[in-house]
Amino acid sequence: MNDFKLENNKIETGFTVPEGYFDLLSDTILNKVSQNKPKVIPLWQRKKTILMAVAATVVIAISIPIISIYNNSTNDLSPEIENYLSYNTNITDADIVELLDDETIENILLFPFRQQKKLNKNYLTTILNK
Amino acid sequence: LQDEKTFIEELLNPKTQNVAFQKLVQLYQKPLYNHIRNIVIDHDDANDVLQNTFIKVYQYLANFKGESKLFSWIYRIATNESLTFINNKAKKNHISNEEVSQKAINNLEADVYFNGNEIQLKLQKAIAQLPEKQQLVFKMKYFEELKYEEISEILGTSVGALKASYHLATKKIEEFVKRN
Repeated sequence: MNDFKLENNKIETGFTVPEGYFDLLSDTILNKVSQNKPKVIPLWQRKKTILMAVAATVVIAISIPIISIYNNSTNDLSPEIENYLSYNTNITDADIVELLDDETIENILLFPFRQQKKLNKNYLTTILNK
Repeated sequence: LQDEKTFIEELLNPKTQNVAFQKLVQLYQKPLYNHIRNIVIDHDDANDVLQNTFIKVYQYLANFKGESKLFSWIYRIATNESLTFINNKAKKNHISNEEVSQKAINNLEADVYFNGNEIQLKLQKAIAQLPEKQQLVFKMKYFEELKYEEISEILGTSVGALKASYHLATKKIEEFVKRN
């Protein structure tokens, strides 16, 4: 091995293949290729898809302001926000009472606690929105 | 070159496409198999990579601009597919590309599709010691007997750099064989 030179003797790889491998290979490849044929989409069909996409975008674009207007029209505040406001505001109970008319005050006194709370809440919202 | 132009036209024309592609497969399957097998070593892996190569060739034919020869374009796809295969195998097993080649060589003795003698096995082991690029250049020049100009077109490396790479690879292989 001491005088080993690659160019002296051509050494082959030593790799072999299964018998008849190349005879079957081209059929296998041609079969696979026909399965993988890229689909040809006619131009008119592509146009139709683009039109549909444009129409969908327009519908969505129009509906965005409608949805937001609808959402803004409600005065309901979530309980969390209302609780936060009632604890973090300078408006005292006396201020609220001053804004209420006699009938409402009577109602507050006559109705149970739950309803009373609801009335208070509504008034608070009205005051804050003024 | 005119023949190649006509052949490419046949490959792209839906009417002649199937016959032309069959001709292409017949023409390239053996040299391309050898090229891929030399890189991935295992027969089953080479078979998978070869089939993927031909599918890619078929799919990308429409994009073939004719800037390079059909021969080097196809060989480039085969080389990329083979190297990607080794990369993926290395990533999956958290080892380097060279370690993937080493492992494949270690499995050669038990491989039914390898009938090499002692010196052939030693040569494969010696090649596996080399950096990936040197391995590739050596295999393409020594085993596949491609011209430097052809290798240059396939790998996009200058002939000078290829010659240097091959010379270095030969020296390292001869040293390895003498040592072992």
